[in-house]
Amino acid sequence: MLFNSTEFIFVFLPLAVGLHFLAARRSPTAALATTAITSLAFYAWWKPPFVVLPLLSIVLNYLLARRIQQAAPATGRALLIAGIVANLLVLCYFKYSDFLLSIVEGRSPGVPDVPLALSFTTFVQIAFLVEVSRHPAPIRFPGYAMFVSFFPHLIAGPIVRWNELGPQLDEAIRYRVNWTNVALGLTIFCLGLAKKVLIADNLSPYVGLVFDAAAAGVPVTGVAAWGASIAYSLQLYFDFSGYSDMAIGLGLLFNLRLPLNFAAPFRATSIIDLWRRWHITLSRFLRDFVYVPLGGNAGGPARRSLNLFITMVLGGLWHGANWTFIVWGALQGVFLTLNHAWRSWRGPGRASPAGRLVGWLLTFGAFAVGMTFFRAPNIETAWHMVAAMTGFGHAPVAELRIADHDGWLIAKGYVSDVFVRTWLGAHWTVLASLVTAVALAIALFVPDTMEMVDYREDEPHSNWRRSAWIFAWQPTVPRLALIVALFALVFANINTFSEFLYFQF
Amino acid sequence: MTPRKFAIGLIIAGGAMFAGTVIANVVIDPHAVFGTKIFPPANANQRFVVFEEWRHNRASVDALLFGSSHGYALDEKYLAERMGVEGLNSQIVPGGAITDHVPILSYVLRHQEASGRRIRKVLLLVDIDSIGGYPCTDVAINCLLPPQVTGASRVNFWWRYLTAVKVANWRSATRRFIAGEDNPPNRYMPPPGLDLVADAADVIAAEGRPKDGHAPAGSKLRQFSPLPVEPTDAAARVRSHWVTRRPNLDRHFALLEKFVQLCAEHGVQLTVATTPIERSKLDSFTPGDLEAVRERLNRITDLWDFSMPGLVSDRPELWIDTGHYKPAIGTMMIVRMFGGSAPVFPGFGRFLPRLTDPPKSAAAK
Repeated sequence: MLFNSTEFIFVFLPLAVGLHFLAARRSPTAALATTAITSLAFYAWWKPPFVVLPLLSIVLNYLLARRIQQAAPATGRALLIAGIVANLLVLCYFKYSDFLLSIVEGRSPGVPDVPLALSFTTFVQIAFLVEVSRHPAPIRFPGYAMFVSFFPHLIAGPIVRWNELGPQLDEAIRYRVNWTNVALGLTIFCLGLAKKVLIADNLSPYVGLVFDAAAAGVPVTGVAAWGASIAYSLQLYFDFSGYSDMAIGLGLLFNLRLPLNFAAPFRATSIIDLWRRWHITLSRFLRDFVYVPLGGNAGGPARRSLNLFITMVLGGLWHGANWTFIVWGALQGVFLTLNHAWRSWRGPGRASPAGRLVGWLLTFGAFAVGMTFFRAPNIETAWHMVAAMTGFGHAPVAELRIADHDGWLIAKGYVSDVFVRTWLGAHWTVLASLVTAVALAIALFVPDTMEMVDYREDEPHSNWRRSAWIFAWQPTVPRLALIVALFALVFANINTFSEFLYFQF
Repeated sequence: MTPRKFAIGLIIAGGAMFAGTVIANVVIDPHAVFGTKIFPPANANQRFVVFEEWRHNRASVDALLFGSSHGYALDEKYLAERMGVEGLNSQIVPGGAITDHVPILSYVLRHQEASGRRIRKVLLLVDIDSIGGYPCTDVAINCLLPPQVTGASRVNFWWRYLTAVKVANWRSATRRFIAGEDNPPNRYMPPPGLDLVADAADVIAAEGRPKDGHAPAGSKLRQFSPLPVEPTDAAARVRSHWVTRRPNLDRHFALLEKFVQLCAEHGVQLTVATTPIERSKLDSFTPGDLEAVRERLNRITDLWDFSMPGLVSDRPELWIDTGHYKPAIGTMMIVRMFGGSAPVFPGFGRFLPRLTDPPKSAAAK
């Protein structure tokens, strides 16, 4: 079941929220158990037999956590390592076994049939075991089961921590309907839904045409390659940040505050800054459970660079069993290292406006190049795109326009057919460029959802926030009309089946 | 405004939109699936409609016709008469592809015992210029196959029709309802009462017809040739369409094999024919490409081939648009395949017995 489906919005969600608060009248435990069950039903909607996996994971990790708490420190540590290894082994079996075999057998890896949400729940469970071993506190099974399976974050995050959600579950006040949270939650949900349905889904066809052509070995122009890579960066941003917004909005309906996952990342003027704003809960997981254990920045710049590189490669590999993700992760590691080196050389101090503009261009450009590897189905396609982006594509003037979005513009004489075929090629169009430019302008200049509603939860830095001006949320009639109108627009466009991009990871 | 009022207002507005959509879909029934029949359908799901027709008439159906909208030009009554069957059910649907036909045929053959009537004959029309692409089967809302055919969830099927926001379709149906208009007749079908024999004779006698294989001077016709014509320079430049490179080609041929196999297993006499292709479309394909597809099809089954260039393809007056030929051509196809009294262009269509020798080129694979 997708957040952007009518069955979710009009049937599952009202039922889940209604049952939660109905059960809460009996006891908080009943509410937690009810929501854990409805969350597992939500998961089972895809492939009912696969629900066994999260069920087993929940039960076994709970039992292990109890043992870790009760055991002596040395035994507890051994159990913790065993638990982490076991969780990772399950992930490896489903996600990476074919990839590893393909390396041994010298063939192309297939597409693994990974149970939905496995990557996310594995990280949630690992973080849980570590936190339980560090801060022993009583764990009640219904609360823990609900924490892991809670449907707003179950499939694609935000990657929640036990120490941030667990305490909330113990507060009695959260089991009564809070209309402020309901109003705010529904507003955030609608804004996230609009990001996904109205922006991300509209970029998707333009991106697909160019990447599919590159995958088929068809030459694409430099403009087309850059356009498609930038459009994909934006598509992924609006898709995933839209999903994260919806998750946060849904959490609020249950009076639970989930952590922020995006902080207007495309406003970043350095790659270091960008990674503090992009997929924040993954970044902090990698920081706390990979980078810091590796030594972090304690061993000097060279060691820090190596640790960063390893962390980002593992982060890339987490996204999927494909060389494209490994190269993407490695690229991010290199970019971060270069950025740290630049900062060390340049010293402290705020850059000039021109310097910030150059920084933004370099940051956004580097991210878009990385996204080429992220989106490409294989390394060959990615190189094909990168060659085009760097002027080595040698694309001839297209004989025909395969993507025929510009027919009207050409017929009206606003743009010439020859111009489109020469500079944009057969698969990219003026219209695609305009739509991408509008999406970029929204990402840069329109206040982010969390700025509009002033939602702050586990936000390490808030210097990214801008005033939301007229958008600032308050329960007023005009704002209600605005959200209703936005929802109507989304509802009219919701019939197209469109999964969230991060579901595949 | 209090947060409570804000939240309740939003919930009521969302609920009202949902309820309004469901009511509009049931009452207006733009896709003709609920059977309300108050408003003329604006965007009927023909796959559902023709399947329901078969379901209601199956006790008398002993033959089936499959194809895309190109098949509308074949008069069903005349075809039934020439095929020598009593009840012909047409499963012709817009954008019809083998992905539609196999599930329907499979379902009909599985359930024919219950109706007490066996399917004896099947005619399958194949558009070799569109095979292997992305069919709209089960993708677009007006192309969903009935759930009992696909085995998909009935709840999902009906839920989709209940909750689809189709403002343009609602508006179109409502306007026609207010104006008291019914659906316009299908412009690709022979009009009721058309004398098919006379119509075909008119086409044959029409000025500009090919004589001795050549077009009269000054006409728009090209040189008649039963083989692919050499492309002109202009045509060669735009010839960039490839059927043999299409993503679903292998899958579609596998389904074609299954279609033939199903007929053989159930003792059904199958006739397969390729539909005519208009010249501008022919010119958009890379030389040799359509031939390779035709050969591959011919390796699966005997074939009546009407897709070759010349005669019909080069005469604009025989086409309603670049995709659809006029009923006279449909009549000629029937006569060529099953005999009849209507006149036919000499050399129109050719019967190709199933090829059994090894493929000549890799392109045919």
